[in-house]
Amino acid sequence: MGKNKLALHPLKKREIKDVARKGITYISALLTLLLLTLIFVHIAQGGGSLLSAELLTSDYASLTYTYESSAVSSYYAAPSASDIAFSSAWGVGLKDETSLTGESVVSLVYLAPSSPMGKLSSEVKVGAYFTKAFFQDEAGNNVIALAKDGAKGVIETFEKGKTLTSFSITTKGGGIRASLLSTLLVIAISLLLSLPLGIGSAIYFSYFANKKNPLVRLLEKMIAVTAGIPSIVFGLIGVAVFIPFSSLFTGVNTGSLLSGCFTLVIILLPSIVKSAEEALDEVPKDYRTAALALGSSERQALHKIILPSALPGLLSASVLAAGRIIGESAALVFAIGNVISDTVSLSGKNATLAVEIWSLLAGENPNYRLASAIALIILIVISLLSLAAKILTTVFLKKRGHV
Amino acid sequence: MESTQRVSFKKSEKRTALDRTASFAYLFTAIIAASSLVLIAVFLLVKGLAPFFKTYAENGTTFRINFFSFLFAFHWYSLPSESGIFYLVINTLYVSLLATLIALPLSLYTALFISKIAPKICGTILEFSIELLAAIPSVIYGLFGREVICPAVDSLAQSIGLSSKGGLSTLSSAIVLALMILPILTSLSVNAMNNVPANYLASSLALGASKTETYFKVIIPSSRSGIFAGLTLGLGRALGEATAVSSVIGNAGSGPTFDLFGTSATLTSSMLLGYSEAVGANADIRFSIGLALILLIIAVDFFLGLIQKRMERRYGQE
Repeated sequence: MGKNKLALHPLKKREIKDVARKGITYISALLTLLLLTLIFVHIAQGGGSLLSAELLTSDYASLTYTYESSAVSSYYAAPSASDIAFSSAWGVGLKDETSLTGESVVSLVYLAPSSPMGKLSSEVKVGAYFTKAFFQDEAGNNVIALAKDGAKGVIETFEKGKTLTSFSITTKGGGIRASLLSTLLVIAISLLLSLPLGIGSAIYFSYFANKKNPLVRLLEKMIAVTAGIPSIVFGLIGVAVFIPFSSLFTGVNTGSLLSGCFTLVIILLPSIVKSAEEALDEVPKDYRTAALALGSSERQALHKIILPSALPGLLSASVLAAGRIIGESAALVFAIGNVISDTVSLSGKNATLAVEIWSLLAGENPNYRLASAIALIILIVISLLSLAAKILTTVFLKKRGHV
Repeated sequence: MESTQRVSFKKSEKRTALDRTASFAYLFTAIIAASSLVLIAVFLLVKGLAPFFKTYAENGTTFRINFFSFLFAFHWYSLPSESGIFYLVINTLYVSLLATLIALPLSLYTALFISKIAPKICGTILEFSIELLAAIPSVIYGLFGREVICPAVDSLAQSIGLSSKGGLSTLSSAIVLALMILPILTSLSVNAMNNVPANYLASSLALGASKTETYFKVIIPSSRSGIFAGLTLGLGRALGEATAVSSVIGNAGSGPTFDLFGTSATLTSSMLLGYSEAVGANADIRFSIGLALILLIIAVDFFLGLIQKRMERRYGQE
C-alpha cells in the first residue's frame, strides 16, 4: 500500500500543478477583462451624469452678465419642490450647489413664468448661477444680495427688496463646444493631408517598388523607425518646424491648430503606410496579372482593379488614424498648446479634447468630473471607430475569401 | 491599315508615359513619408545641442548651460545653469522596468490563455478587449490612474505605515505604464504562440508531458522571439510615454527616487511640466531632454538586442 501511494504521488502532484498553472492563466485573462471593464465603468460613472447636449454645445468660460432694472415685487406661488429656497416676492427658487470647478455656488433652480427676473434676458434661466442683486426696500434703502450669503440668505434679502435695481447672473460654463469643434477640425485637416501621402507611399511599396532594392528597403526602414518615436518628440518637432512653417499661413508665431495638424501628419504617416500596405497586400496577386493580361496598363490595373478591391481595408486604416488623432495629447500640448478658449480658428491655440483632459488634471484642483465626461466621449467614439474598423476588415476579408 | 497601327502605337506610348508619371508620383509620396525621419533627426540634434552654445540673459543675469552638469546633475529647475537630467534618466529606466515587470507575467499568461486554453469565443472576446485597451488614449489612462490607482496606492502606503503624496508616486506610474504596455505585449505574444509549429506540441505530448506542462515549458519558451519583440515595443512606449505618467508621478524636483511610494519625475514628465509658461532657457532645454530621451530609447533597444542574441546563442536558434 505504501508502494502504491509512492507511485501515485508524482502523478497527483502533476495534476495539482497543472490545475494551478491553468488557474494562473484564467486569473490573468480575467484580470485583463476586469481592467477594461473597470476603466469603462469608472469613466462612465464619473462623467456620465455630466454628459448632455448642453455640455457639447455650451461654452467653457463662465461669463457674468449684469442687467439694470426697475421691476417691482409682487406675489408668486411656490413650486412643488420643497428642498429649494423660494422667494414668493420675485418668483425665484435658489439652491446651494457645487460648480464644475469645485466652488460653492447658488444655482437658479426655479423661475416663475412671469417672474421679472426671467424677463431681463434669455441668459437668466434655470441652471445659471446667481451672482448678486441690488434692491431698494420699502424705506428706500439699498439692500444687496450676494452669492456668498448662500441660497437661504439671498432669498431673505430678496423678500426685503421692493424694487430691483440691478441683477447679475453667471453662466454655468464648463461646456466643451470649442474643444469638440477644434478636435473635429484637426481630424479633418490632418486626415486630408496625411491620407494621400500615406496611402500613396503604401501603393508605391506594395505595387511599384522592387523590394530587393536597398534604397526601397531603406525608405521602408526609415518609416518603420519613425513609428517608434515617442509622441512628445513629435511635439518638439512641431515647435521647431511646424510652428514657424504654419505662421506663414496664419501669421501667428505661437502654436496653432494648423501647426498641430502638420505635426499630426508626421505622427500618423508611419501607421497609415503600414495599415494601408497590409490592406493592399491582401488583394490577390492574380488580379494584377489578370488585368495586365487583358491589356490594361499597370496604372489602369492599379486604379480600376486593385484600389477598389482594397477600399474597405484602406477605409479601416483611415478610421484607425482618426482614432489616433482623437487620443493624441503629448505632441499637441507642444504643437498647439493647452489653452481652453471658446473661439475656434485655425490660427488659435485651442486645446483638443484629449489635451483638455490633461490640462484639467494638471491644475491645482483637478476637475475630475469634466475630465471624465470628456474621457467618456473619447472612449465612446474610439470604441465605435475600432468596431467600424473591425467590421470593415471582416467584410474585406470575407469578400476575398469568397472570390 | 498602316494608319490604324500607328494610332494604336501612339496610344500605348501615351499609356506608358502616364504610367511612369503615376509611378513617380507614388515614389514621391513615399520619399516624403520617409523623409520626416530626417527632419526629426536634424532638428532634434540642432535644437537639442543649441542650448549649450548659447548665452542666456534672464532676470538681469547672464548664464550658460553647462553640458556636463546637464548630463550629470541630480536636480532640476532651481537654476537652469546647474540643473541636470541624470536622475531623470535613472528614474525613467526604473519606472519603465518596474512597469514591464508588472505587465510581463500578466500578459504572458493572458496570451497563453487566448492562444491555447480558451474556447474560441472567449479568445475572440478577449482579443477584441485587448485591441480596445490598446486604442484607449494615454490621457485616459492618466485620468484613471489619478482617480483609481493613486488613491489605492495611497491607502496601501498608509496600511503599511508609510505616507505618500496622495498616491502620486513611482508605484502608481509603474502600474499605469504596465496597463498601457499590457495590450502590446499580449497581442505580440499571442501571435508568437499561435505560430509555434504544431509538431512541438505533438512531440512534447508524445514524450509524456501533460498539455498544461507543454504550454508552460514548450510553448512559452518557443515563442520568446515574439515576446522579446513585445518587450522592446512595450519598453519603448513606457520610456516615451508622457501625459499619463505626468498625471500620476508627482514631478519631484530632484532624485533619483527608488522609494516606491515617493514622488518621482521622468524625462517626459519634466518636458511637459510647466511648458506653457516656459520661456528662454527653460523652453529650449526641453529639446535637449528630448534628444536624451531618443538616445536612451536607442540604447535600451540596442541592449535588449544584445540580450536576445545571447539568449539565442544559449538556447539555440529556432
